Parts: sequence; structure tokens; C-alpha cells
Amino acid sequence: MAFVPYRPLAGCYSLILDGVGWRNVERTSEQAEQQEQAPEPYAAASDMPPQLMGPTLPVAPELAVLGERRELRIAGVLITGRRRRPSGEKAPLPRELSFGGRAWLGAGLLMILVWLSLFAAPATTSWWTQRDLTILDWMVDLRTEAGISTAKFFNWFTSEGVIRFLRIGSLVALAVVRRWRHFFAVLFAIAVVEISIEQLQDSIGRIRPTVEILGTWDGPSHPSAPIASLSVTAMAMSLSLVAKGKWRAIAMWSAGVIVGVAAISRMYLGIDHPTDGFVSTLFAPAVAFVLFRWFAPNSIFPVTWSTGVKAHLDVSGSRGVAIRRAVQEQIGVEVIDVEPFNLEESGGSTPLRIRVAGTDGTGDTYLFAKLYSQTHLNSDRWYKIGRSILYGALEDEVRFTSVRRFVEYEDYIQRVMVGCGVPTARPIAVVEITPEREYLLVNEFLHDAAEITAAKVTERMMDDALRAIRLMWDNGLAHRDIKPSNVMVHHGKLVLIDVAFGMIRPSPWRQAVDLANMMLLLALKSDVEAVYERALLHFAPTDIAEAFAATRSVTIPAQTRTLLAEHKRQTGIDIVEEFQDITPFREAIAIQRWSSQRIFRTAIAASIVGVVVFQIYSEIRGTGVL
Amino acid sequence: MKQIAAAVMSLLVLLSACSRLGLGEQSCEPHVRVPTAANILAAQSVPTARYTPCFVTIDPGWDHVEFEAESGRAGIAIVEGTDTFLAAIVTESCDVGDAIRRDSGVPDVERYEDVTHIPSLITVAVVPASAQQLSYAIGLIDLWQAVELDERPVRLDLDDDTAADISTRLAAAAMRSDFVWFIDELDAAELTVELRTVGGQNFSRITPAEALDQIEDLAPSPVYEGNWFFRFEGGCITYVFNAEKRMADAAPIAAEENLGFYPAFELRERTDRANR
Repeated sequence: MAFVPYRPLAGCYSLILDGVGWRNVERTSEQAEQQEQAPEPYAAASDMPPQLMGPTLPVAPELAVLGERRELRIAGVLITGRRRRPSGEKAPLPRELSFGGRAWLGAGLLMILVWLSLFAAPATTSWWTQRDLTILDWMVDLRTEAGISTAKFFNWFTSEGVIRFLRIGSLVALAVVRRWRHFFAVLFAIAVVEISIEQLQDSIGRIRPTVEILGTWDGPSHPSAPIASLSVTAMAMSLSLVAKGKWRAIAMWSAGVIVGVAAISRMYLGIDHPTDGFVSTLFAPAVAFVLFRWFAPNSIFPVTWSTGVKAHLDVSGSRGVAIRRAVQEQIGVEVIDVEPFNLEESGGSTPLRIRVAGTDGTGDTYLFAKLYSQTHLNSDRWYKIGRSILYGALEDEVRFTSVRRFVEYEDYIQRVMVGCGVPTARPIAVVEITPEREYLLVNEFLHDAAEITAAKVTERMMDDALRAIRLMWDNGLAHRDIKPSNVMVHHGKLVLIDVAFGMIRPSPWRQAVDLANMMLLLALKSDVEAVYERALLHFAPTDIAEAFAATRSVTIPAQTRTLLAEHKRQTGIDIVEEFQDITPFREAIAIQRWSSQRIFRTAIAASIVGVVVFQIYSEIRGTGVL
Repeated sequence: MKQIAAAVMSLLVLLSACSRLGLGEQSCEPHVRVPTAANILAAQSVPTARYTPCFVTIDPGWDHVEFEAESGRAGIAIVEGTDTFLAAIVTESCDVGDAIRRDSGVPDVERYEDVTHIPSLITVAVVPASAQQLSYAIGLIDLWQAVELDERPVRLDLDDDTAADISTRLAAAAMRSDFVWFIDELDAAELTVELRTVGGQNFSRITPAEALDQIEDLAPSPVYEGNWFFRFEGGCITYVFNAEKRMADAAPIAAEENLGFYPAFELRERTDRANR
């Protein structure tokens, strides 16, 4: 069965139709030439001459018997032998609660049952109080001078000073290594627990034990606030400061012992009822555990002591095995190795290089893949909220509702770009790792590609780059992230990568910004006049004027801004100003547009910043939740 | 943050009832209904104290009431806006300092007061120099008696003892009033007054309206600040006043009428019995 070649989309124009009318004939012929030169994005393997077939990748043995398969050749990789996962079979990386997760879930349910029985009816409340007091009476009978001194020592761990010291120390350590995810997770967990405990105490209003109390206390008895404070602090420290594994287990067990002994000590001193401490020892760590799992999961934000760690999934262990299996089964290639690739260039996904086995003695070859998870989706949401605050209604920043949608969109926009002839890496497949939670977007791998700023920028290169923007303009597209790390030179040809932010029918402003950002990149490696001259072959002077009228500091990616600043420092030339001087005058395009949603989001963001600042201020004054 | 156990327990406190102590009323039992957790926690905070503070009634006009209890200290507070204008705090002991002893009306309770009170009422003594200016002075009082300055009532008192020595009359007027309006022959003719303040400032030949404007500026803000102390066996309850403006007059009344003491020993014993 032959694979049907992927043709350019019907909606993509093969000619430049901008209505400007200038040099229409010349540009039309250029475009036509380009179309002739452009390679077919996809080709049926069976249609290819044998000498261009490249290595044939072996089908995994267990797949070989599955009958006739489609054959597809992309970037030197022959893809065949895919396997459909039958109904009922587990996904490559099924989502299952670990033993720890099940234990915490059970503890949470137990705590809810205790609560319900504690406070649902006077009869059960009385029953619990009588049981509590029976235990406390027994402990009071056991009191000795030495026992009281020991209990007071362990109760000291629940004192404000100790807890404050532990919390501030942890936060300072996290701030020093710039692990902000963990920093805010700790802060968030502490705030949630403290506020919840305070609310519960007020709502329940339980009195202190009616035995002789030998220590200080503050407020209602249930749940025990000091035990909760110590528990959440210990759990947050274990999850944020200690790497997963043996040492974290040791840290957690040690913390558990200290918290447990402190809780028993407070009972011995008659400060808390047994159920007060019991509920706190379950509730507070559970909250921390859940918040960390949601906000800073270890699989994505592992605890390391190096700085600048971004949100990347750990592809070793079970996930690595699952990726290999998934790629093997769903694409039909034999995976030799999976490794992170250029992590520092990516914050929104986990980029991978997948080595696949070659045959016919041609050696192994590679695929490029981006691993997306729920956390990346969350990051994308925050990113979009940030952009909507920054730019207002100019950008369509509707968030994706699921990882699947996120990946589907990127795959789609990539295919649209390829279909329209925009030079970009060709997508191969979407691979399911965990349904609805983790997907792998597999592309061709650009061997020996370099950023445009590391390559020699010739007039031809300029034309390629500007033509790519022109193609996007003419097809109603925008890349929205034109920066050095996304404009690559591959075997002498320009390729745009990372089209995840690409948009169909973007605002004219956004398209203008794409042009300006591309021209800035080109000017960094040549000069403003030369770039402007080449740009006039593809764009009207008014187009270029619009591009630089739309350019602001916030519209230029940080990576480009850094290079521009460096260029200015070395040469004294401000490239942006030079372009604005050389282009026809146009009033600056206002990018700050206000809508009710933007005002609302800005107000919320300002409030959060205010709360954080207030919290830090309160902490310094010694009155905060820490 | 621990001190934030200043829990808003309006509901609990609304359910509470306690005896009113002092001012001759000693019996508490008839008022005691169901003690709340707030009452019991307060009693637990100072185990030696014979009494613990509580609300006799909650004035529906108050913004909210707060309850706070920790070992060694417990209290209730009445909050208006963001300010606590009255709090009752029980501790094991208290330093009464130079406070003046008052009669508590209860044999085993000593009461002391150390407060500064500037009432919201502004008093003005109208002092005509002679009988000839008396009718003008009476006319002024009739005209301005109902006036309010910044929501503060103003009371004008006539000094009609025109036969007495004028300097003696002015000194006496200054003693009993916040301000003095002195009226001589020319004032009566020109319909003006001379405003004299306690601080010694004089404003001559100004109209009564101008005099009232000056009074509005010069009158000190009403305030009720300081403490009432109630010392008894094993403890002390301190009423802490920090009332300003319209609450300055309401605070001592609220303290007398709305706050009371709960017999803590009995409360602790009753709770212990109930829990076992």
C-alpha cells in the first residue's frame, strides 16, 4: 500500500498576492522559482529512487508479523511496522498511583473519617473526647520530672523560632540556587496549611484538654497548629531540598519521627488531645505532598543543586523505557537511545534526540522529539496569561484545555507551515506516552544545524529568511517567536524551528513584529543597509516601516535583545534605531490595548505580587505565616 | 502568626452568656446558659483566675467581636472598622500603676481606673459682661443651641450671674467649659463675641459663626483611652480602651453594659465533669 504524499494545503498560496502591486511580476517569478526548488515535504517511499532511499530501519521483531504496513520516508528514516495498541492494553507509561500516593490518599480518607466522626454529632464528639482524655489521663499518671523535661525538649521543635528558622533557611537555600518552582511550592504549601489550620481551628473551636497543661498554647486545640507547622515544614524541606531516593526517604522518616515524638510530647504535657496531633500529622504533609506533586512534580522539577534548571521531564527510568517502547510501536522504528537535547534552549517542553537503528551499513540516524506533559501545559497557560497582560487583546491567548490539544495544535501548525512551503522541520508523528498527560511530538532531526547568528549571512541567506516571512504573510501565518535559536541554518539553507507559537490569521501587528525580528537577526550578522536593501525585494517600504513602528523592547525576544545590546556595546550602533531611521516614518503602533479581561488579569497579578511582597515584609517583621 | 489565633468567633460568642459583674450586680447563675468553647478556652488560659471575661450582650451595631486565647492570656474585643475600641483581657496578674481605685460593687474584686476621657460634647460658656448684654447672650444660645460641629453636639451654658466679679466668672467658666464666649458692650452692638480657649487663646470681635468654626478647629478630638483593672483571686481582668470620636462616649457604656465576668472555676469544673 503506497502512502499518499502530503501535498501543500489548498489554502496556501503559491504566489505572492499582497495587493500592493509593486514588482508583482518579479516577485511572482521568484516565488515560482522557489516553489520549483522546494522539496516535496513528504514522499511515498515507494516513489523514491533507490539511491535516495537511505537506510531501511528494521521493524522490531514482535511487530514483523503484523502484516502489510505503510511505508514512509522522512529525513532519511524509513518508517514502517507500526502497531496499534489494542483496547484494554496499558499505555506505554500508564498513570498509576505509587505506593506513596496510595498511602497518602488512604491517610487523607482516614483523616476525613476521623473529622466527620469528631464533629458530626455531639455523641461522637463526646466519644472521641472521652477516648482522648482516657489516653491523656494515662499519660498524666506517667509524668515524671525527667519525662516532662524530655517532652518539653521535643516540644521545642514546634516552637515558632525553630519553625521560622527552618522555613527561612529553606527558602534562602532555594533562592540561592534559583529553584523558584520549589521556592514558591514551599511558600504555597506553608501558606495553605497555616491558613487552613487557622480556619479549621476557628470553625471547630475545640477546647484544650481538661488536664493540667504544662506548656504554652495558642488558640483552639484542633487541629494542632504547631504540629501542622512542623509537619508541613519538614515535608516541604524534604521535597524541595533533598533529591529523590534514599536520602529523601531518610529525610522523610527522620522528619516523621521528630514530628511524631513532638506530637506525643505535647500530649504528655497535656497541651493537645491525641486526635489534634494525629490529624495535623496527616493533614499538613498531605497538603504539601499534593501541592508539590501538582506544582513542582519531581519528574519534571527534580531536586538538584545546580542553578537555572528548567521544566524538563526526566527521561531516564520508567519514562525512558516507555518512550522507547512508544516510539518503536507507534512509529515503527527501532530506538537505540533517547537523550535530552539542547535543554537550555527550551523551557516549554523537554526536547529529545532519539537515535534509531539504521540498516544497510549506513549507521544510525536521529529523530528530534519534544515531550509535552501536563506541567508544560500549565507553563503554557501562565505564559499566555503573561502575554495577555503584556500585550492585551492583540494576541489570541486562549489557553489549551489539555496536553493532547496542545500537541495537536503544534503538530497541525507545523504541517500547515510545511504545506505552505515555509522552511521548517518536518513533523513525523505524535506519540502517546500517557493518555491525556504526556505526548511526544516527533520531527525530523536537523543534523549539523546552527543558529543563524553562528553562520555566515549571505545575500541568499537574507533572501531565504525574508522569503520565509513573506510566505507566512501571504498565507496568513505568523511564527511569533523569531529569535536566533529558532532560525537555523541547515546544510546552507535556512530553517525555522519551534513553530509551537505559530498562528493562523494573526493580527497584522504580530506579522509585522515577525518581520522586524527577522531583519534584526540578519542585521546582527551583516549591516542595516544591506538587510533593508534585500528586504525591499520582498516587502514594500511601508511594510518595513510598519514592522519597525511595531517594534518595542517587549516585542523583541530576550535572546535577540541580549545580542543587540552586545552589538551596540561593541560597535556603538543601535540596530533598531538605525532601521527606524532608514525606513519611512510611521507613527509607533500602540501595543498596549486594554480590555476588561486584561484589566482583570493585571489586577489579579498585581494583587498576587502585593500579597507576596506583603508576606515577605511580614516575614521580615516576624508576623507572617512563616 | 500564632497570635493570629485572634479568631473571629462571632457566632460562638453570640451564643455565650455570662454574668455581669460590678455596679452592684453580683449574681451570675441566672445569666449562665451554655458556655461556649470561647468561654472555656478563656478559663483554661489562666487556670488560677476566679473569673474570665465574657459578653453579656452583643450590640448589633458593632462591626464584629473577636476572641483570643493562649496560655496565660485570653481576651475578647469589640472592633469598629479596623480598630479595637474595647478589649477585656484576663491575665494572672496586672500592674495597676497609678490607677485610681473605684468601688467594684463586689466584695472580692478590686477595681481601678486609669483613663483619659475627652467626651464628644463640646461645652461653651456664654459670659455677658453685664446685664445689658444678657438678652444678646440669651439670643445667641437660642440660635446656636442645636448646632453640631463635625457630628459633635455643642452645649451653650449661660452665665447670668452678672452681679459677680467678671474675672472670677471668666475663671469659673473656663474651669467648667471647653470654651468661653465673652460678650461686652461692643460685641452686643456689633453682634460679635470674644472666644476664649482653655489654652489661653483669645479671638476678639468675631461673629458667633466664626467662633464656632474656630471651636471646630481647636476642640480636641473625643477619646476614651486607658484601662480599667479588676483584680481578684488568681487573676486580673483589664479592660483596655482605645476609643476615638463617636466611640469615645460609647466605650465606657459598652464596658459597663455589655461585658461581664464568668465564674471560671465553676466553668472548668463543669467542663471537666461533662467530658468524662
